[in-house]
Amino acid sequence: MSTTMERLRSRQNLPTVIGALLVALLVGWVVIGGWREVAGQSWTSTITFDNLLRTLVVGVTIGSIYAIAASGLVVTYTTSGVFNFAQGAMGMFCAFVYWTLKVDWGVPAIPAVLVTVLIFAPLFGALIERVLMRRLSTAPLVAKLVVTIGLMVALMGLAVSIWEPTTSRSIPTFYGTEGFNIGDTFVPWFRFITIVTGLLLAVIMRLVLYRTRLGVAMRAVVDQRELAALNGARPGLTSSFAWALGTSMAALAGIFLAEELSNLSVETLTLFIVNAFAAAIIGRLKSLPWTYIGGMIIGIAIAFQSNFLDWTKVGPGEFTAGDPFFVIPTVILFIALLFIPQARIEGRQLSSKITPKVPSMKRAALGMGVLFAFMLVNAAYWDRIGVRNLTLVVLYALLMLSLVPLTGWSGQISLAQITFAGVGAFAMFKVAGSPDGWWIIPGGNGAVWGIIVAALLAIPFGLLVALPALRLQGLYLALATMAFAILGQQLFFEQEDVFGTGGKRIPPIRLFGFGLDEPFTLLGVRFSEDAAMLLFATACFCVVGLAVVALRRSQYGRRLIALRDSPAASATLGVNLFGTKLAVFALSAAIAGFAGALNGAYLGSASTPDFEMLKGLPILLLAVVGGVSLVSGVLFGGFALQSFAWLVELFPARTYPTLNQWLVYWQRIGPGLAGIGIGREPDGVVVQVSNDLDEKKRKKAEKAAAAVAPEEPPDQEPSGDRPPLTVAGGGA
Amino acid sequence: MRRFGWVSALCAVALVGAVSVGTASAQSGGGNAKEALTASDVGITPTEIRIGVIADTGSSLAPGLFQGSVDGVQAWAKYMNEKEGGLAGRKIVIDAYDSALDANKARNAIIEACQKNFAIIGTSALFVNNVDDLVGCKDAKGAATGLPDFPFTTTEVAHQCSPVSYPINPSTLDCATKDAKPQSYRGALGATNYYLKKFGKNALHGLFLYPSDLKSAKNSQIPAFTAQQEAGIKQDATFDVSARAQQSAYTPFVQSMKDSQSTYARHGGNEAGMIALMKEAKLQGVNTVKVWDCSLQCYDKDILATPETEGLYVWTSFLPFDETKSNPMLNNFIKYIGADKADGFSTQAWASGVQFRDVVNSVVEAEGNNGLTRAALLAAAPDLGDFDADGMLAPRDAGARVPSECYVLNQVKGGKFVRVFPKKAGTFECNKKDLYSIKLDLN
Repeated sequence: MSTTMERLRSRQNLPTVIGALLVALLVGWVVIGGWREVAGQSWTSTITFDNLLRTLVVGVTIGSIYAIAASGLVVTYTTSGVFNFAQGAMGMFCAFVYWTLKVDWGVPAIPAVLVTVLIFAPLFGALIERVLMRRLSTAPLVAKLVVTIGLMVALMGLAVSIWEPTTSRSIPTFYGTEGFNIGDTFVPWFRFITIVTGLLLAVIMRLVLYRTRLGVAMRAVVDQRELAALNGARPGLTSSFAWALGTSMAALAGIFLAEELSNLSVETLTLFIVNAFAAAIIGRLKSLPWTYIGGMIIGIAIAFQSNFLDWTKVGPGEFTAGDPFFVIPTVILFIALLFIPQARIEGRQLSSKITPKVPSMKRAALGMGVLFAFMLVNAAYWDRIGVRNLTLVVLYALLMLSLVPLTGWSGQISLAQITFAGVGAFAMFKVAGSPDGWWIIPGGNGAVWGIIVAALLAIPFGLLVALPALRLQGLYLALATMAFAILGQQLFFEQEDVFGTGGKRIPPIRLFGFGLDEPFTLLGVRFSEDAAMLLFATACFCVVGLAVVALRRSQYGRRLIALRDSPAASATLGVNLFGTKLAVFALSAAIAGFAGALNGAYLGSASTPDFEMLKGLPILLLAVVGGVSLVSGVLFGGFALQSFAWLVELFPARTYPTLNQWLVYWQRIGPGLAGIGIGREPDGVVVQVSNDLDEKKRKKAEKAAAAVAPEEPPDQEPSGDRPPLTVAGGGA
Repeated sequence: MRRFGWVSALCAVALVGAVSVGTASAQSGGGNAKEALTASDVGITPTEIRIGVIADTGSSLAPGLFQGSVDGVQAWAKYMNEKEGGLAGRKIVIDAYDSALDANKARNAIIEACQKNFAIIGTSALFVNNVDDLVGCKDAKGAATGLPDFPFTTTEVAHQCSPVSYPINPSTLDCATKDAKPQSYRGALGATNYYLKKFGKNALHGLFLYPSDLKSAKNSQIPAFTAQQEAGIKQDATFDVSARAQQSAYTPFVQSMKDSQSTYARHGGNEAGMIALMKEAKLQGVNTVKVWDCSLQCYDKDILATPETEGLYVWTSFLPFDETKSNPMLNNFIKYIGADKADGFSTQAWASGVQFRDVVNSVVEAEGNNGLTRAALLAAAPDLGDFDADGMLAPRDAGARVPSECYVLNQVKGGKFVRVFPKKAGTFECNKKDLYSIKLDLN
């Protein structure tokens, strides 16, 4: 006991202990403050056996679905090293396949389940592993994440294309409405089956992974693939089997969840898995029993809130507590990430990264000049809609630029850039949109300094995200930033004083009395409305882009690269990891906030749906596709992201109905496919094209050099013309 | 993350607004038939009038969401061209714009419509957060008269209070008070007074469910629910629930109904949520409820396809679709849209077309076919007065943008919607007592 206390009190564990106490206080405050009052009853009288039982039944049901989904995630992670963001999407797809078999084709329930879970899902999973995931085993983490996020986006797009949401679809439950009572709570058989299946799967998978040769091989393959192969394991087949298993579990979770939905929804079925991430983290991405317990914790917490807490009372005064269905699992995820030690997977290797050449300032300035000239010409040529579409390209690129120092150089993966952008838009609304400005900051009428305030306001949010980043890295950091983005959306943007009551109008930026939405004439050339905004946004991108290049060329830039390549070595060399991480997050947030402010001025408004976590995913995807370590790479990413919508507008349905329909399908699936494609080229398109061009140039130069140099005579036998070889000195 | 959970919630909100439209005689063509037609404004040529419809149809995660609005407007245009000789002597041409649940695309659509179309009707874009381009749209003479807008639904305050928008479903917010604290809200109580009369003044108490996906979606339900409670339906419990919530999430709500022996239940979200509530209630053996209450978002095929919704009351602001014999305009609507495409969205989009027609005809009557301009249309719109889409819609003062108190009450019986009140086909119950007025601080 004294040893335990000493350990707790030790300096090393002190932050953990303090953190745990703070969390406990927070939970206590939420429970006490939000306790649901029933008229005429004291709070203790609401805790009855029936209420608790009800909470347990509901919680265990939903928790079982989370547990099954999360277990599939853990199985694939422990055996392939890939955290599959698309787990929910794969389950969703299988649920729709089950619907097709059961409802559309009239196949009886049990055969339909068996075909879906034991034939389609495993084949689907094995195919995904073989075609996509196998080559990711030595890819950088960002490539792995982007490929799975891309797969998720692509599957969602494919599903809505095959099963159009305009038609309602529901799955009849197993055994209909039959069931039994526990207390006064009726438990239908389909929920009982869910609960029992979840429990059985946890036990069976534990046994398979730890008590069978196959399970040992599955775990060995990820730790030391080559060594496992030398010992007779077949890494390829083992990985495929693991993915087959994981996808079957995703299919089961999808079907169980679909039974609970009145209408099969692609989004609901896919994003359900995000709530289950916390369960996987509680299991440290390797322990299935703990993953199961994690699922139960989430399910029971949600049920507890439904039964006992009045969510509207949580928080002071007018505070909006957000949607508990998402807030609770996300908070649990955040807490789990902070307190549970990261799983260490041995043997991970980063592929040898191609380090892009650092451009000179002169070259960078020339590039920005070309970009501005390009936009100037286009601003004069296009009508207002065309100009606005181009502006969106620049704004996307500016937001992606915030990822360059953070993800591209220092290797810190962030899914929270969209949140920082939202903070920036909020600041812009407050300063430029409110007649009297904001607090001590004068403003109103599109005040241009709103964008500076936006950048500054985003910094503390960046620092807030950076604090967990000091302890977390890699996948855990990515998940923490995702949790931050979800909580930002639920707990910050939804406040009445922010965007909670609906969209907020942001007037156009005014620069020296001139509104950037007004048309103007320059040197006899007429520019439409919003052309000035395009040029202003481009100028901002050029300035910030040059600053980013200058940073890369500085000592700080080299420190960021060192941080990415080897934090341990950097620390050994005296690099202050703490300060470096804080600074890069702050810088990244500032750029994103700046971009968000400009975007708000461009849109003319800001609202919560503009800054959802989901909206940030294509930003990350296409930034990595273009090349997240280069300014030119993210510019390419901005063009690429907008191109999907452009093509649809270029060929409207009224004139090109068939082509338009295919382009609509492409718009749905394309961004996902682009993300998947990055698995082949993890450094991005721009880097690869640049290297290919350099390679061609080099070969051309070699060829040219070879053509110019005189030909050396080849070695030959002595001819009769040559004098005979003589040996002086008598010879031997 | 709960991106389209709130989409469903907002769609339900969009449908819940009371609709009443005044009477207007149907007149087509009008003016001097021999008058040589000219291009009197943007979107008008001697031979055609181009009208836009902006709807969220192409979002990648909810494709076809408001396709019904586009279908309704296109069907209306076809009807007008074939049966009423077009408008102002010209053929009607519809341009559909996809706002794709995106504020940027909605704005771009408005900009494009301003350049190409005379007006927009049946607008069903959930994220019209900025109306600068709507209000500042320039006409053929370069004056910023605005783009006449006759939307089916308006969800954002900016759109609700746009001076050039005349929604078929006026907002419950009294725009004159939008910046005040508290604000004034007025809207339809629906069949609340009918229920109280039928079941007894103190007999109804129960559950109110709010959509939790977006605070603004929840806020849109608060005035109606508060007014119902003040009218006499007591609250046993309220809960917030996501449009994405699975059926088991409703177990605690249903159990609270059992504990309180609730006799009333209403879901402020979409029809899927109502179905989940009723299914779970049946599963848990709730048998005390006398009134399962829903408004026009539940006038839906999915409701009829679910056996557990038997007995659900659904009040609407348009005539039931099977009453085509009682109303010629309804008959034309069903004929031109097709029975399988008829739904709440297409009905009201069609009605917004009829509203537009009536305003145009009033301009043509006063100014002639060539007097049809955006400015004239916007000047005439407030004077439309009572409008009821030739009897197909509950009457309301369209020009004043006041919600209607009128309704038809249906009930789900044997897989069909059966008219309950008023009993006579082709009629609405209109009583000023069914219009609430309340002050709340929700902004």
